[in-house]
Formats: sequence, C-alpha cells, structure tokens
Amino acid sequence: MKALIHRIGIRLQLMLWYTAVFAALLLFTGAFFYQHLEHSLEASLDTTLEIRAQQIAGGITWSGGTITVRDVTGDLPGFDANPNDQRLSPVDVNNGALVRLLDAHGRLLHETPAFQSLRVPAESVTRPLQGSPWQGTVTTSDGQEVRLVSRRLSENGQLFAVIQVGESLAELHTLLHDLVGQLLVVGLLVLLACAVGSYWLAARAFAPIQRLAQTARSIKAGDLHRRVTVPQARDEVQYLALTLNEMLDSLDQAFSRQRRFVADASHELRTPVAVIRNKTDVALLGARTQQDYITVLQGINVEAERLGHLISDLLALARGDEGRTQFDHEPVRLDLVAGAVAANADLLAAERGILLQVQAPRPVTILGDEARLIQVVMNLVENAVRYTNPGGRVTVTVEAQQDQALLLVRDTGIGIAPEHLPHLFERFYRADPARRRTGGSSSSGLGLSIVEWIVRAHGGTVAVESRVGRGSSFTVTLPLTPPVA
Amino acid sequence: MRLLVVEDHPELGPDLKKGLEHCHYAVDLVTNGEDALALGETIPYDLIILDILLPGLDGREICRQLREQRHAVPILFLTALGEVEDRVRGLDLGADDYLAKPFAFRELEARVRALLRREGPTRSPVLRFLDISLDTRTHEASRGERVILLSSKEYALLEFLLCHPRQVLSRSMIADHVWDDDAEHLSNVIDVYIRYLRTKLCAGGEPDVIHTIRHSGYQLKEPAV
Repeated sequence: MKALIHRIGIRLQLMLWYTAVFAALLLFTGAFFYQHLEHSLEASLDTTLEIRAQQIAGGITWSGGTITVRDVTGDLPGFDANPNDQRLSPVDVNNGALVRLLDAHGRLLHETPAFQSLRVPAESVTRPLQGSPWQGTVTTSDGQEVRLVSRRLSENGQLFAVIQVGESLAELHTLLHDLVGQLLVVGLLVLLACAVGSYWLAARAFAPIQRLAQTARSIKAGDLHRRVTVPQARDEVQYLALTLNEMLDSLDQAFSRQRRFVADASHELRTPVAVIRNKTDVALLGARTQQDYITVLQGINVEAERLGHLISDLLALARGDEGRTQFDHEPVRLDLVAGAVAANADLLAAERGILLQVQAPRPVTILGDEARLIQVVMNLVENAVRYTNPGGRVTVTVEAQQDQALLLVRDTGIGIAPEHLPHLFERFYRADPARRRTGGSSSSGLGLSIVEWIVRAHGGTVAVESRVGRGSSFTVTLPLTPPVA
Repeated sequence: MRLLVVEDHPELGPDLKKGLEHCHYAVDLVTNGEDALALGETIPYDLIILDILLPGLDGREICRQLREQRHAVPILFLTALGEVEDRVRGLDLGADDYLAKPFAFRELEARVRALLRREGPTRSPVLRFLDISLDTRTHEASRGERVILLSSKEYALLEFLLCHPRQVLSRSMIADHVWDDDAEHLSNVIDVYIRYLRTKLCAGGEPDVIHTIRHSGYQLKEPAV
C-alpha cells in the first residue's frame, strides 16, 4: 500500500489527500445535520401528539367514577366502543388513528383498532400513573416504528385515566431517507468537483517547479555558466531555484578546475615530449660522434624520467579525487622518516651547496601510510632545496605538541610573494613560471598538491608562511592518533 | 613479490588479497577476465592466481592467451571445478598448479611459496646471501645470529633483492615487484626504504651489501674490499 502511494506521483497524491479530507468533512457535517434534523422532527412530532392528546382529552369526562368518551375530533372510529364486546380487526398503523385510554389502575378502557398491533412497554403506563409523562418509540408486530406519547388525565388533581396517542414514523423516515439520498448525490458531485479542482490546483502549484526542471534539464555540461531564473516570491520554489544555482556554481567551478587541470597537464606532458622530439630530430640530422649520441640519450633519459614522475603524480591525484585510494594505518615513526628522507636528499643539497639539517630528537609516532608520509616529507624537502640558493639552509623539524605531530620544513630560500600563497597547493600552480626548469629535474608542479592531499587524508593540515628574500616555512600538523578511516 | 589475483567472488577476492598481503606480497585484485588479461600482459607479475569461472573472459582463455604470447609467469588455477578432467585440462593449457575450492589458506600460501621458489636462485624456502637469511615460511630475517625485525615493505624489498643476487635492479623493476597497482606511483620512495633496510642490515656493524648503482638502481653484492 505504501509502495503504491509512493508510486502514484505527487500530483495525484495531493488530489487524493484533498478529496479524502474533504469527504471526511462532508461526512461529518452530513451526519451532524442528519442527527439534528431527526431530533427536531421527533420533538415537533411529540408536540403534535401532545396537542392531539389534549384535544381528545377534551371529549373525556369523569364524573362519579365513570368515564364518558365523546369523539370530539371525529377521526377516531371505533374508539368510543367498548373494547370488551366489540373487537375490531387491527388496522394498518399508517391509516388509522392510534389512541388508547386506560383507567387509573392501568386497565384498558378504549383503543382504536390500529393500536392493537403496537407492542407497548409497561413503562408507558406505569410512568404516567406515577405522575411523570412518557414518550418513546415503539414497534408494531411487523417492525414498523411508531412514536407514542402517554399522558395522565386528572380532574381536580385526581388522576382518573391515562391516554396514549401514537403516530407512525414511516413518513418521517421516508423524508430522512430521501434527504440522505439527496445528500449523497450532491456530496459525490461536490467531491468530484473537489478532485478535479485539486488536481488542477496541484498542477498550478507545480508549474514553477516544472519550469525550473525544464531549465535545469536544458543546462548541459557544456554551458554550466547558465543559471535557472529565481522567482521573486520568497517561497519554496525560490529556495529550490537558489539551491539549484548554488549547485551549478560549484559544478561550474569544479568543471573549470578540471578543464584547467587537463589543459595544464597536457601542457606539462607536451613539454618533455617536445624536448625528446627535438633532441632526436637533431641527432638524426647527421652523423655524430658517439659522445654526442650519449649526450642525446642522457637528455632523453632525464626527460623520460620527468614524464614518468609527472604521470605517476597525475595518477596518484586522479585516484585520490576518485576516493578509491587505500591508505594503510600502521604506526609510522615520523622522526625516522624525516631522518631517512633528509639523508637521501643530502647528496642533492650538497651538490647545490645547501646545508640540510634534521632536528628530530624524540620519537614521534603517528598512525598512517608510511610510503605516502615519506612522499610528503620528500616533496617538501625537494621543494625547499629547489628554491633555496647556494649557501642557504634547509631545516626539517619533527616534534610532538599535545595531541599533534608537527613537521616543519624551513628554508632560507627566495621566499614566496604573498599573492601566491593562497594558490600554492593548487595543481600546477607555480609562483614563478620562469623558475620551472631550475633545480631538480623531476619537478612536476604537483608536489605540493600531493602533500596537501596526503596530509588531508591523514586528518591533518598543511600551512605555509613566507617572506620574500628571507625564506619559507611549511608546517604540517598531523593528529597523533587519527581516526581510523 | 607481486601477485595478480583474479577472483570475482565479492568476499573471497578481498579476503585472498588481505591474506596474501599479510604474507608481505604486493597483490592486485581484479574481478573480471578482460582486466585480468590486460594487467597480465602489461605488468611483470611473479605469479597469477586465476579463477576459471569469471565474468567476461574465462580463466582458461586468459591462461591460453598469456602462454600464446610467451608470458612465462607462473599461473595457479584456484577454482571450484575440481574434477580430474578439469585439472588435467587446466594444467595442459600451461598452468603451473591447480588448487580446487574449498581449500585451506595455508595450503594456498605454501603452493604460492613453492611456485615462487622455482623462479628463484635456489629451490630452498630459506633465501640466503652471504650471512643474510630470510625464511619465507616464517617471514623471519636474520644476519648471522642477529634476528632482524622488518616491516612489510622492507621484507618484500629484501625478498626481491635476495631472489636476484648480483643483478642490477632498477627502481622501476623494484616498484613493479614490490608495490601493488594502488601504490605503484610511490616508486620514488624506494630510496628511503632501501636506506631503512640497509640501516637494519648493518645495525651490528656488518659490511653493506646493497650497492647503489648511480643512474641505474641497486645491486645485492658482496661488500667491496
């Protein structure tokens, strides 16, 4: 049932709800109205019966213990006859008058023939005899309902008889049944109108959303700069439109980032290929000495290595973006990692006349992926060495502060201008494009992006401070016990 | 040692990968025949563990094609088809071993070791070079009397070096056999791991046996006199 409701669509759902609520209201009102009407009709019938009882009573006199009956209204055939010697056959309650007279002891004095078929409860006689009037609905032997009032007759405060007057309820019931029938027909018509109306209303209410959906649908990956129109009214539709536009904004940004990344990547890939192509073209031009060929091959080797690194880095970042990279969670001695990386980079630093120092006096253990953490330290150290002039100094510090491990890589290098700092961890971002070929052979322009990605995946942060001409300082903060991802 | 596991069962595949990684192997897991063939053709695996009933290409077809292209990688069929007829057919296609499911992981592990031994310099489960020894059954390393505790990567690196004594091994060769597909791009951290390993091997003042060959890679060789 629930599944069915979910399947039929919001417009139809709304229509059904509207109609159901309206039907319930209609039923409630109808029932109340019917009750009220039935009650007041019965009350007015009781009044009529009472008046009749009084009229008939006007023809009844009591003197000296004898009751004399005179038919004053003229519509009581057989009423004044003696019931004991003249039993008329019962007459249909709908045609004949229903009147009965009993004496002060509850004995039957007179009754109209139609009255004989009524099943009258003893209460209807005893109650008036005790002094209180009685009225109620009784049934005939064949199940028809009759309203009956029972009143006492008295002369000078002395009770001498009880008169009972009845009237068939058939007419009243016919009236009420007709009313119910009419109400049902009208109700159904109203409900139908309500269903059609609510369906139309729902359509109207959803029209702006429909328009929104059409616009959104027409926005393809190519024209993400387009936006849906935001309606003036401050309502749900406006909120939806604003949300859609926000989503388009971030999609647009992501797409343009991606486009720029692809453009940058292909540019970066093209450069080493062009270099290799150029070297081989020149070498193929004419006969050379063996030394020349060796030089060319060495040059190709360097470029191929650069390409290899670039492709590895691109692959790593692409996998990271996809979120399907698995990180190990093993204890890693960050101080040992720093020491080993620095020892490895020492040769390169020494070649460039740079002093590389490690300050990691105490063991610092974190949970993480050792190979990737090595890469973080390596990229930061290589970066520092690359942008430091001969005679400079690069210091790697590892220490624990409260619940965090700190890795600092400081250099006395050329520094980074403040306007470049916010973009430093963006892919292929270079503070100084002219410097891209100096220093190490394998700078891909992705090193710091990879650092940022790995640190983030370990639940840490990386920050940079720098002063032009004075040097830069990279600070990596890693939780000592990161949450297990 | 780098292994390719081809298994489409959603539970068994990852379990195999985890179990074999626990034995210090680098493991790539694929779940369909096409990927398995593509990887088998391009990456110099030390062993391929192959299911027969696979989505896409069938395991037997992968084995046949690899052998046709003259790939000599050891292949172990790990399959539910356990009839004598199936085993004979599989082995005759060029597979090196055949293990029917259900199997004991310890047996698979031992068969993997046995197959990898065939490629090594000796048929012994204990790899040795001078006074360095590495027990592939217990994963224990020692130099002389000194027991050396190794991390998973260090173990894999030492095992690979011991399998190829005196050969000059380039960084990419090492990466191909020690790192799995997921971490292959991390090959530039090999230098750091070599340093770790060297430090541990020489911690008792022993001479260095891992020689750095500039611009080429590394070589396990008798210490220079």
